[in-house]
Amino acid sequence: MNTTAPTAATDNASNASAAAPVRDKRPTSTRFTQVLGVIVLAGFAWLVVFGLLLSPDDSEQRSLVRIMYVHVPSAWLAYLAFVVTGVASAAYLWRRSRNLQWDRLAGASAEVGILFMAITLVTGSLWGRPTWGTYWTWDSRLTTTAFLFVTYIGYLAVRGLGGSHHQRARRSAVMALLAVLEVPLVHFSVRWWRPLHQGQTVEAQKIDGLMLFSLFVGLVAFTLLYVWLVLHRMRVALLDDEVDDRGLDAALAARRAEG
Amino acid sequence: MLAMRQAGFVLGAYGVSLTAIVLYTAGLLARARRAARRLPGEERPWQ
Repeated sequence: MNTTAPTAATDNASNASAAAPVRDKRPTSTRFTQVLGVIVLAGFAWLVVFGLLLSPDDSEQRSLVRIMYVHVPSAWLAYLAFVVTGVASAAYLWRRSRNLQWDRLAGASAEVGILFMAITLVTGSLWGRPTWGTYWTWDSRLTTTAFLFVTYIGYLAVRGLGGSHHQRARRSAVMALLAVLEVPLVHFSVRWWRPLHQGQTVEAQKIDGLMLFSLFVGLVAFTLLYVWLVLHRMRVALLDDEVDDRGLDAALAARRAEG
Repeated sequence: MLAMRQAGFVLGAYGVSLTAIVLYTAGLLARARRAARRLPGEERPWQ
């Protein structure tokens, strides 16, 4: 008696039924994001080890320089996130197909950028208190950074206004193209206005060796985290849009039934 | 004394950063599950 075929069929059925709950438990996961997630965790473990333990103290700032390995990568990735938002918005407006995936990429990148910008502001404050004697001062770098942060909060608020998906995409794309102009303003503010905030450390090659490597580890960890978060956030946005469409379809069907 | 005071700011910066990332990630995954529950049995384009 050959039992191979029924057994395989039973296995497939049980695998399918087991896969469904897993799919609903982690609906935005794929093999790629799972592997990437593990690499991100390893990257942050390395960042903590290098940033807190292995990198040396600075001659002037002593151990406070360790904040740089979180503060600078989060700032750079926030800039990158906002530039990606601008590019994706331009792509949405440019292409005749008006593909909503560009809009979802823009929104996802902006949200992750806001998270990184918040980390930049808080870690900068914690660095500023022992260095300058204050958590906050209205110098050009801090002020422009805070303005950038508030601008993108406003961008998310604009995305949340009512209307169809394409109306949302059009108005937020226009705002993103205006908002991204602030990024060079923030970045070059230390050069143009010479504020209390220190100048560009890496471009001026003021650090090297293990300190530079620790900063590189932080940059890699934050970059991989950015990719992981944006992928998940885009998929959540697609699910949200489908839920909205279903709700609209149901409402239209109910209205027709009434008529 | 100075080193201990500085360590507080350094650890605080790392703690706040990692906590913010973990909270945002947890919220994002919870939001994904909520949306998926409203679309039961759907094939996702990425799956």
